Amino acid sequence: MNPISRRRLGLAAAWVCLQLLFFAGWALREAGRFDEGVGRSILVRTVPVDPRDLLRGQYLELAYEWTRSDLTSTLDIGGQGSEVWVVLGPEGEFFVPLRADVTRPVLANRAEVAMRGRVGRWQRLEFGIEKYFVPEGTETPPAKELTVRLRVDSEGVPRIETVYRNGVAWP
Amino acid sequence: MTSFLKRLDGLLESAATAGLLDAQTRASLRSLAQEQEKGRGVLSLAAVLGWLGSAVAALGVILLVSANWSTIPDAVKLGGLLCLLAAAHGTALWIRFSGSDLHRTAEALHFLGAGLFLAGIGLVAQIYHLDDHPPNGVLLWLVAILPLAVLLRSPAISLLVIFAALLWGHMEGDHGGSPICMARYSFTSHLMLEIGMGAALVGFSPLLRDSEPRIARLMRGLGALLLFGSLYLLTFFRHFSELEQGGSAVLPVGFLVLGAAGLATGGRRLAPESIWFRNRLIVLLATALLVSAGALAVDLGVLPRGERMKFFNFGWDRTFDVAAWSFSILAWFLWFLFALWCVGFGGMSRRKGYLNTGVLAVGLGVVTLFFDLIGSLATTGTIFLLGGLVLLGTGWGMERWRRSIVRRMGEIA
Repeated sequence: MNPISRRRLGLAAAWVCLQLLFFAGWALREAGRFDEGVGRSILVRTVPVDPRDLLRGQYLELAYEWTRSDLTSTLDIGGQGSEVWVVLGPEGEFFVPLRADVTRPVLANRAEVAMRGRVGRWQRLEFGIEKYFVPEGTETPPAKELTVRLRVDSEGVPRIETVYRNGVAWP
Repeated sequence: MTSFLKRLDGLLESAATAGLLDAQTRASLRSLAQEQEKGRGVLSLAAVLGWLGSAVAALGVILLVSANWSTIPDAVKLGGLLCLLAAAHGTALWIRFSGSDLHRTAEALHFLGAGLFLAGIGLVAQIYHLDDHPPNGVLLWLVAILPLAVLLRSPAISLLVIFAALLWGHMEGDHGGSPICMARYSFTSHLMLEIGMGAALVGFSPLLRDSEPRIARLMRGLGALLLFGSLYLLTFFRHFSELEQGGSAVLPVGFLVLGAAGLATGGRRLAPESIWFRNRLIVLLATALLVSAGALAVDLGVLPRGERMKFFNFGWDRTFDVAAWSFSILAWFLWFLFALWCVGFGGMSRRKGYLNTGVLAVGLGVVTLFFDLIGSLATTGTIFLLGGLVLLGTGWGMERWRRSIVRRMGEIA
């Protein structure tokens, strides 16, 4: 077996350092999405079920009012993986879906929020906020008791900020 | 110290006592043997135990991440994982920099580090509830560990790279939000990934034979395993074949093209012991890719499926398309030809591994074919009685055949 040169070992060490920096940077970037004043924080209704992910454990699979709505019925939204935008507007304390578009929409007023997602299987709209990871063994609450606060950044990327059960942060 | 080196030490001691060796020659021989032992097969006991230990430890961390303890702050979880990752790679690099002979330990620690990177992706995704495009997580893992496999010349990390590439293909092909998502329940499309990857690994492996012999061996072995496994499954094509609609063919075709590229690039350097066997292997591999592509074309609706044929099988009437039948039969032919190639090549090159694989494949093929095809001759009970006799007879016949070839190999040697 030929020995590994010190130059190769040095490069490998540098690559491992890059891996560590990557994780630190990624975590900081994700944490930064929830900083004060970053993006819009909106409350929405949801419908949960409770499967498991082999890598990340137990989660609630969340569906939203726009996941299977008629918003896109008049749109040519393209095939799986195509980009799609949904505009949400306030209705009482909740934000509800108003319309969808295949390009970034112009908002009618400052109260509206636009989110960017993709077309999934069976024309479901997916925004990367369909899973909420919970500690192992957490009981699945009734759907009607849950609401979700989302944080949507200026690029339209949403993240789950908090899940509420009967108005109290959960779990 | 390995048993070989112990035996060598004893022999050298005897030779030195008898005055056949001087001290310098004895030391040189010992050093040469030690160096060759370091480069011995990828699957030495120490290496396998190291890999297993690292894999189990990495899985343990992943399971702990999955438990998602709410009592531990996120920053502590993330910090802990980064410390583990740094410690695994750091210790391994320190071992290598220091010139220690604990190569297997260093390799096992790098293997652990590569697995921990995947755990890290899962952890960040869990903490921030990220679910944008899960296959990208596997792709990220692949990109992160590939340079380490090259820089560290590590068969262990190369194994993870190959696994990550296959896993990504299957996940991307099954993810509803992917533009290259395959049709739902498309077993044939998924099977093409294994066949394409197997052919690619076998094809590309000779290119690394001189510079990275351990990685080349791993690629060849893994490629053969993937090819035999997927070809065996393809023999049941008529059972799982169905028209796939609404999916993309990019991934299955892409993997088959990768296999063809591997064959075109490294085919001429395969089986250097014999041009005759090399040429037949190239033809077999190319035919396997063509048959696979044909089966895919049938399921994608590109080739016509033909008429439906009735078949009585284990008490049930079944109907299969002509095309599905044809590709099952072609796959069976290929299976036996590959097995016979292994027997022939093993006998010619005096490699028992090839010989045993070939004989085992012939036996498995005979038994499987019996249960798969001869079901219409009698009731299920008779079939099982005959099946038992076939098993006994095949085992006896295969062993006699194998032993006679091994004996001849010994006579030639």
